[in-house]
Amino acid sequence: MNEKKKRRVPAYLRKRKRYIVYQVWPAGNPTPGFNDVDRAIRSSVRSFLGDHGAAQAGVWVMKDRYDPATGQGLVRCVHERVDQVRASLALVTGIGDARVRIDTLGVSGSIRTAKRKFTGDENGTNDT
Amino acid sequence: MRRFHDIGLRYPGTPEDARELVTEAKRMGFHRVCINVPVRGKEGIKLLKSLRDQDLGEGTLIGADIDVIGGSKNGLHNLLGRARKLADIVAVLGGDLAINKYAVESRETDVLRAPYRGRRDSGVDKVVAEAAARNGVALELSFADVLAPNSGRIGLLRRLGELVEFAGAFDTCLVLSSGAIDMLGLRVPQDLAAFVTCLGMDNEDALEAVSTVPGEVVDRALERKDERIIAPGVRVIG
Repeated sequence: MNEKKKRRVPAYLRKRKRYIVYQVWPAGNPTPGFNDVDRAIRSSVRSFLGDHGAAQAGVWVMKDRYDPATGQGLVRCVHERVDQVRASLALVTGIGDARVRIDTLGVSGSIRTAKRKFTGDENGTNDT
Repeated sequence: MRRFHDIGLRYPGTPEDARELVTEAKRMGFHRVCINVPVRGKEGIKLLKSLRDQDLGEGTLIGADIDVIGGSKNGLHNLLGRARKLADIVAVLGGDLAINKYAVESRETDVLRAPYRGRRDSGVDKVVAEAAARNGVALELSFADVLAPNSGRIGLLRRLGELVEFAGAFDTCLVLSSGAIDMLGLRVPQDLAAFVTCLGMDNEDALEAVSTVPGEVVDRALERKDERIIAPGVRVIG
């Protein structure tokens, strides 16, 4: 039986992405866990942009790219909404009971470049 | 290369904390910062005098944040005159429409800070915007107001959008500042610019509102302190 071949979304239909490198400050003990950071960022995006805006921004807080030791991580979003997502990150004032701020270190078009330019990983290949 | 300036930092209470705040702001990419002392009367003037002798770090300016809400125009006039002699930058905390108008008409004012404070509109109308543009007074939008709990963010965003619109329509200088009183209130300059982009300003103007525009305000204010300058455009040479 012939199985239908799975087709990729053609390039012209794919959304262009941007990766925002952020840092939770102050970093150190106790460092907020990924779930708390994720909740804070999502809640801020939703509160600032609304459900519709958040959906259009296509925000994805990347779990495997968050480093609890340094407080650095990546957020992926649609390239047209970078400013809105940056503003949403700037509007975070607390995670749980702790007062924090989230700084944007930079924006890049690929994970490798984001890590190389903004997190000090020279090759951008280190997974965490 | 773009140089960023934050002229809206607030005095945290002690010179040590102020130094820490300045150091952190510099680390985040600000070239020059201004620590503003709240001036409501004699106490503020005294604090301003005492801070002038302190070293708060290179490129740090001392500003006066004059607050006369509920006060009179005469009170504002007196405080402006006294603060001008002591501070590098003189800002008037807005809110009252009469105060907003008086502040932008005065030659002593550099910045009208938060003209929307405690109001249901932006606090800026055609008269205020035109006078500000004519007299070179910058309107300041403080990010701390947005971060404040119970700020009524929806209404505030509407008022800020209105302010951005007025500033654009009448070519009034618009300055963006973090309004931070501690390190957790500081924000990266590009993030501040991204926030104003969401209010309807275009990207280049937003970046200028944290770099060129406050830089010009600072340069103009420092120029006034130069004894060789007799009047705008007239300088003693040699």
